Amino acid sequence: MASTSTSTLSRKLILKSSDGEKFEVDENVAMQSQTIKHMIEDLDDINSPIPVSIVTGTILSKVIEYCKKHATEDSDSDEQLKQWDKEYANNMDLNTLYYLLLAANYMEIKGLLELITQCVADMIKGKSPEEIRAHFNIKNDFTPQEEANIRNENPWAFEN
Amino acid sequence: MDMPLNPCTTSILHDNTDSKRLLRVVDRLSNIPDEVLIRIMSLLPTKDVAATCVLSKKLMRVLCLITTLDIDDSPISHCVHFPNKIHKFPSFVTFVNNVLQAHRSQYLTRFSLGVGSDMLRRYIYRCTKHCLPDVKPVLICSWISLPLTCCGLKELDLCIHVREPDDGHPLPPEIFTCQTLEVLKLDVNLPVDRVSTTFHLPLLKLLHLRVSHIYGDGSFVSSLVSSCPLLEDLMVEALLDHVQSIIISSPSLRIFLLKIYTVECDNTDFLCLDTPNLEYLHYNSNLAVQQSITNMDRLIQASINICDLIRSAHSYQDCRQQILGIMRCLTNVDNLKLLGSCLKPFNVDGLKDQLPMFRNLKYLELGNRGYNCWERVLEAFLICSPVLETLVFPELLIERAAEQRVHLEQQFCKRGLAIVPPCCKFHLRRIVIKNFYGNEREIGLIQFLLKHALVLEELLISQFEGLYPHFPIVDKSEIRETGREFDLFFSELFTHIILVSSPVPFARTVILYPYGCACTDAGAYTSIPGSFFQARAIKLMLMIDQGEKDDKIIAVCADDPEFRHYMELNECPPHRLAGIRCFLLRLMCMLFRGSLFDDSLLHENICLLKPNVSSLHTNICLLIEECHSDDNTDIGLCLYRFPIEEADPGHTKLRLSMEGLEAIKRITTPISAVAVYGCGEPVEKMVGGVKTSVLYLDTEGFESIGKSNVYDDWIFALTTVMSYVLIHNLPATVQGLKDGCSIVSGFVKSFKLMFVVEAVFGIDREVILRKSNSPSTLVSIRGRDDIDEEAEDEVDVEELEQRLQGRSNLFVGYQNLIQRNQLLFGDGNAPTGGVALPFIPVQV
Repeated sequence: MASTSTSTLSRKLILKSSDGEKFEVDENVAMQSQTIKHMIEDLDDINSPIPVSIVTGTILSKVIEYCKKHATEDSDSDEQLKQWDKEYANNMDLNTLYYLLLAANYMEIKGLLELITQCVADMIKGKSPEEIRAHFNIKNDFTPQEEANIRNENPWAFEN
Repeated sequence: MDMPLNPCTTSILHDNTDSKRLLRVVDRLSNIPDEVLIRIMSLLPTKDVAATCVLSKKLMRVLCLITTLDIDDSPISHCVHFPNKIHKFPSFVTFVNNVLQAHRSQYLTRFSLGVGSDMLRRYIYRCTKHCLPDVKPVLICSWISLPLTCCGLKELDLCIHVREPDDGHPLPPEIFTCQTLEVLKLDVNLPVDRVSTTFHLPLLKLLHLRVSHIYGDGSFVSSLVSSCPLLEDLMVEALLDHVQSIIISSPSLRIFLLKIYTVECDNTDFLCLDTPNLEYLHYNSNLAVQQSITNMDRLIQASINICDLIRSAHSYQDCRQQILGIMRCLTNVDNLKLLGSCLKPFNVDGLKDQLPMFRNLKYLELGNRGYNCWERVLEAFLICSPVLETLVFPELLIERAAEQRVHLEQQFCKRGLAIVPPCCKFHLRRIVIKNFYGNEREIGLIQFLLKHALVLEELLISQFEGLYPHFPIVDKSEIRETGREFDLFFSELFTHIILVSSPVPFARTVILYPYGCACTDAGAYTSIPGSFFQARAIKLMLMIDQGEKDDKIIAVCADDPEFRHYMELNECPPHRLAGIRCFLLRLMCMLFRGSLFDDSLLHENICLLKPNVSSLHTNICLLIEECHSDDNTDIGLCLYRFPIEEADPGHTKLRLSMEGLEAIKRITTPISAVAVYGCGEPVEKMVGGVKTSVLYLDTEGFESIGKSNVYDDWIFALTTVMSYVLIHNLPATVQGLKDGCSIVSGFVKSFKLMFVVEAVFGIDREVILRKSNSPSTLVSIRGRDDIDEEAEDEVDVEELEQRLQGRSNLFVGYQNLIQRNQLLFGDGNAPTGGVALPFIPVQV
């Protein structure tokens, strides 16, 4: 029994990104992604690369960085881990953050998804709509009249 | 937080699988999949989410799907004293109506609503109902009802105060039967319909109640708590006329805060705590007439603040038994605060036999309000807390006691205890006295504590601020009478007085730094056992260094004839001001580069350190002054400071500055050079009867962008080798240079390393190295014969102490420091004085 469990722990998986890059990771690292967990369950041959179809190699490497950090339990205290998370998110440019968010959602990595959503929410907080539009490059699909109507409907939201 | 989400809508993802298209995506918010966008928006206040509606059609859709509604009416204030934007209130009401009506998601995990929620003001200004928003209770109830119809509500936070609460519109009773609720915070003045309301909150973990209006006879809280089998965290706050009973019974409860304030200072009739698994207890209320408290063996921390004793009780005896009854249930705590009137009835003989033994108690805070004396209380608690490490007094004295009793207390303090309690022998390392008035009784008590606390490392005394801004400083001699030598570093401004004593070589101390040493922690002054000097803090400089609070205390040497009469900054003579102003500029642009002072500082007083080598063979003492930001012009700087070295135009070499040579030529006296971190004006001092110019050499280099770091290394090297004393605060800098800079490397090794930041000129070359926060790894002592040896050894503290033992009589005070230093460091060499080339690089 003991030997089986050790071998399970050290099992390696190969993840393949959308642009064909391959990453060899420990199973417990990859298993933080619910999506991959489900894929493995259906998979007969775990030695074949697991396609992570919408995630590019650059982004996938970042995701793996996160998962590795969070796979090694008890090495860091919660506080240190939080600090690491913070720095990890702060070091991302907006573009990377955006794709990371899509990846975390697709791969169903709960912790990463929470981290990035909070990070994006913090970016929105305290900004005027105009600033948000500029920051995230949001295309305005309203006519000026429609926009004015929305503002008039809820003046409270646009005060201060 | 888990959120029930719709099945993953992958359509958007598939649209984006083409990587080329991904690169072209510019709209980084609208293209996020719906469920992720909802997650993001649910983390924001609802008002912010509503504001994003104008950005795009997709974002507009999100508003009605968010799973958190977090709405409040701030910054509107209806307070008649401080009204704010009351005319906006109708638009707030419309907003809430619109948001709630438009809400389409069947999932809502968190609902937070604040109306008339400006709590603080309500209490401070005794707001009446006219300070509350005039909104119909029926409307509020309809607002609250919505989240209760959704699935999965986990957190409900209501802070609602309406002008006219109405019994016809009580809080929706569904709140108290919500099957999914985990967090409930209620601070409302809507009534609870006690007849038709039943309680059943099977998943509730946290309950915070401010219940002034719905408390009634207390059974509301009792029944609510007992209907929550998983409750872990309970806070009950109430301001009431009279409380009949407080009955809390919950085996799952771990944290309990009870804060009951009665208007008439009435006592609660009955208190019942049946919470055997409690870990944290905060009790702030009057003593109850009757009580029943279960043993709380798991309790870690308890804070008991008895506001008022039982009024109807005839004697303190009853009250004492009542309070002892509470204490007996807390015997396992390791952190205990007894505040308010807790100890009022305790100054009786035989108390030590009545108190329970606190076996795990490490931190004890004792407040002793009232006409009370300490002697028996102190004795009893010291005996009953065998492993106590920290003892805190929020105030030693608050009111005067009868003269006869004071006399008894003083007798007790003088006499001391026959047997030193075990905690004093082995554990008690820290005593903190807040609100120190500086009178005789307090000093007696401090002497008592010092006498018994044999392993004390730190005594912190904060002065009472308020009534007596210039309370006389405790005289050193008074404290000395205890038989052990203690000096107090004193602060006027509610900071710290720190004990430095010979048996405690490494007591942490207030930051007292010589000029230029912008250290982050103390160490240098105290790390020499047997070294005393008394400093009087005359100003606290609030400062932020690289984003961290890094206040500095500014002090004068209390023994120095020139400064000892200074009690505060503005007594300093004007000629010091000029220097301070210069220093201000330098401090801001150099020492703390990249960091900002507290903004307010710039507009208030800015005080700065100024070095004054008051008598060369003793110590550097600090003098401070006040500097107003409006006149911090650069006076004095140019008069005194001159460059010795300058870079050639191509910035490849250093060369002598003619200006500097001229300046040196004008100096007729012998010159002593001191290398400092920072910079100073030259001063003239008597050294061994000879007038000598002391030049501060700046080790800092040019610090300019675009110029080679090599300059800085060389400048450091040159200043170091040319100086008799190097004062520096960053060993790392010196260590780093040792590798890269062979000259310094050789010299650093050959220097004697000194303990104290005291400029003792002429003994030999000395380098003061200091590792912050670890005084014991400070230094090694080297004679210059030891060049070949590794200079990394740590000092053997015990050996040093031994060398000092038996000689301490010779060195009372700092006056004999030179002798002591010779004994410590000397190898028979008489002070040599001597002249070195001065060198002050220009700071560009």
